[in-house]
Order: sequence, then structure tokens, then C-alpha cells
Amino acid sequence: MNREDLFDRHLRGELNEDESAELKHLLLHDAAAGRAFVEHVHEVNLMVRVGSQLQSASPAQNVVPLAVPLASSGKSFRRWWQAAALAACLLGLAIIGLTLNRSPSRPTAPTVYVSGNGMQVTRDGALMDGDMIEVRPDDLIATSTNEIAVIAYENESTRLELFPGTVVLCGDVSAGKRFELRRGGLQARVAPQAPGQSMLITTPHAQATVIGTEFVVRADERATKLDVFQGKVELACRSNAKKVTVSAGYWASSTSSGTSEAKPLCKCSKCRGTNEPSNCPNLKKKNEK
Amino acid sequence: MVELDRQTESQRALSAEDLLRAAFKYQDALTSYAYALLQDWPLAQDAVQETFIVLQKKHAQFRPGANVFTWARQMVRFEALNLLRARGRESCVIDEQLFALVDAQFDEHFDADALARMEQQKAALQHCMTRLERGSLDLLLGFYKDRLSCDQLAGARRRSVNAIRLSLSRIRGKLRDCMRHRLALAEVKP
Repeated sequence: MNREDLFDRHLRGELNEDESAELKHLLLHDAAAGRAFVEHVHEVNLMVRVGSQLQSASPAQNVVPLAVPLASSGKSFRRWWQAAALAACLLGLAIIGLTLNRSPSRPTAPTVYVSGNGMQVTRDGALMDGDMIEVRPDDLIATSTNEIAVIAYENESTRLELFPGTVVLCGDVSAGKRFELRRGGLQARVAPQAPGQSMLITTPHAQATVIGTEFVVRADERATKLDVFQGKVELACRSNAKKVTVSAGYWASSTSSGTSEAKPLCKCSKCRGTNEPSNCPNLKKKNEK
Repeated sequence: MVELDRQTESQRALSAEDLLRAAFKYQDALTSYAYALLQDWPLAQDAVQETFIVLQKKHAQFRPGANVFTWARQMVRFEALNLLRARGRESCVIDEQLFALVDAQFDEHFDADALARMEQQKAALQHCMTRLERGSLDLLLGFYKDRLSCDQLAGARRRSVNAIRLSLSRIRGKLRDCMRHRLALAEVKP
């Protein structure tokens, strides 16, 4: 068996006893093989990471369009209110526009923008240029594999930090804060929002409604995990619309089959961030009580 | 790169955000390390994500002047062991000797030069992978990420096992050639 196949079999967890012995012997006695092993692992890792990003960025079958509503009750009533709210907004904008036109020329600044090294913003199939880009509906933001990007709002403290390797599709920013997290993760600090203007983050499995809080949400092909540090977030499973309210200090996850109950975030040192109560004696005792 | 970080980090205590930002720069390297230890790419991703959460919580314990990469790598090692134990993989018992040997390779070969070289490789790979056909990309990810066997891939694509093996080898070869070409071009450019 050639060296590359041996390294591949290790990465796939397929080594038998003889092959395992062969790999150990190589790593122990051949420095060049050791270096080749490290380089091979890194190359495969990058290939998978970049490949996953490319796969996610292209239209995926597992992603439901952002506009799909979770529940259908009171749809027409809500639509009426949306139309009324839109009309009121347009009227408000017209008044603001008239007022601004009277004053001397003032630069119009973007209300929502994204910045970061190596990020890619795709709009209507074209790649946008610049380190700081105003976000528009349907913009697809992809962070590079080792840099973060920040989505910030100009007139409020709301801020979303997109982790490396994240792909986010922006919804209609004027109608609230809507984002579709296709893969990766983001940490958000959301300023208290006006009623009806909650931030909505949709993933392939769930939809998180945020009122004003600080949380981390991560999504991959298997599940969506949500850790809440401050405030409350409502997590709804997209397949059965089951909702769970996750308060500060709690976490929940959602898969294609449903959403878990909210569980306390583990804070003890033995947990090491796994949120796994079995690793955390204090939490286990608390749960048992 | 690591040296440079050490110099700047030694000047002041880092906030949780700064520390996380510094650690994010090594996400690829940390994932490779976790991947080699865990032999499962999605699990490696989990280990690194958990490391970042722990790192943020424990940022106060970071000594100014210490190396962020080394600190984060130790945490990844911890997380990897944790995950292996938590996942009940001990049914096939962790091969501690192999685990230690893999760990030692990364300790020895993951130096500043290697990290810088890998950054260049990544840029080249990103360019080359966008040129792959969707089918080739799916095949690669099926094999490495989803850990499908050649038999499973052959069944799903109605092709022979040998044809799948050959395709995988050709795709890898194509990518390598493209990367080599791209890296050579980068060296020539002023």
C-alpha cells in the first residue's frame, strides 16, 4: 500500500492492525513521512472545508427558501398588517426624504454593512468588491476559512460576527433583520428590537427569533445548536414547527426530526464547553434534584 | 507568523474577543490537527468549535506573551480526547500510541514556516476547487467528509469500484497540478 493510501485509511478510521503498525513505524522512524503525513492531513482538511463551502454556496436542495412561513394561522390578517406597515413605512420614508432634500447635501450612509478580510459577497451572481459593503436583500456572504466578518447596523448596537467558513444569505433587511445561516456559525449581540421587528435567523433545520440578546448559533448538515448568554431566543424546528424558548444560560439544538428541550449551559471546568451534563457533576446533581 | 503574533501579544493582555480573533487565524491548522487525532472531519470541526467557546470563557487564564496557537492546540487535544470518550468510541479503544505519535508529528512539523506555506496552499486550492465539476466535488466530499466507502460511492453512481478509485485519484492529481501551477505563478509575480 502506498503512503498516501495509508494516510487516507487513517483519516477514514479504516486501519487494520497491520496497517496501524505500518503507520506507527513510519511516523516513529521516518521524519520525512511524518512531515508528509501532516501535509496530507492538512491538504485533505482544506479540500473538505473549501469543498463544503462551495457546495453550500451553490443552490442546495436541503435549504428551504427564507420566505417560507412556519405557521399558517392568521396569514391573511398578518398580510393585511404587513401591507399597512409597509404603507406607513413608505409614507414615513417620503416625509424623511422631503426633509433631507431641503437641507444641504448630506451623504447617505448605509444602514447595514458587512466588513471583513477575504469575505465574498455575491449579489445577483456577481462578486462584489470592497472591504465594507452595504448589505442588500439576497446578498450571499461567505467568510474565508480563517477570517471572520462582521455585519453591523449603523444606528444601533446590533452586531453579528460570522465565524470562518460561514455562509449567510441576507433576507429583506428593511423588513426586520432576517438571515439564513446556510452553514457555519455566528455570534450575535442584538439590541432590543421593536415589536414585530425581531431578528430572524433561519437554518436548514430551525428558525431562531431574537428579541434582544446575545447568543451563538451554529449550523451544519446534521443539526443547529444555539447557546444563549443573555436574553431569550425562540428556536423553532422547521420540519414540525415545534418551538422552544431558550433563556440566558441555556442551550438547545434542532435537527430535521425536531428541537430538543432547552438545557443549562455547563459552566464547570470539567465540562470544557461540551454542554454535556454527564461531564459535569454539579449540573448532574442539579438536574437530579 | 507565530513569532509575529507572539511579539504583539506579549505587549498586552488580550480581551476575549482579541484572543478569539487571534485563534481564528489558526482555525484551519487546528482543524487539521483535530482531524488527524479524531479521524472524522465533522467531529474535528466540533472539537475546534468547542475549543473556541472554552477559549473565550478562559481568556483570563491566557498569559500575555504566550503563543496563541500552542495554547489553542492543547485545548483541541483535550477536546479531542473528550469527544472520543464521550462518543463511546472506546468500544474499539483509543490507540494511545498512535494518538501520541500523531500528536508528536504536529508538534514537530507545524512550525511557523509550515503554517505560512499552508496559507499559500489554501489560496491556491480555493482557486483550483472552483474549477472542479460539481460531480467531482461531490465525489471528493463523499469520500473524505461523509466517509462513504468506494463500494457505496460506486453503488450510488452506478459505476464500478475501480472507476471510483480511479476518479478519486485523478481528481486529486488534477488538484495537485493546478495548485503547483498556481503556486509557481504566485512566485513569479512581483
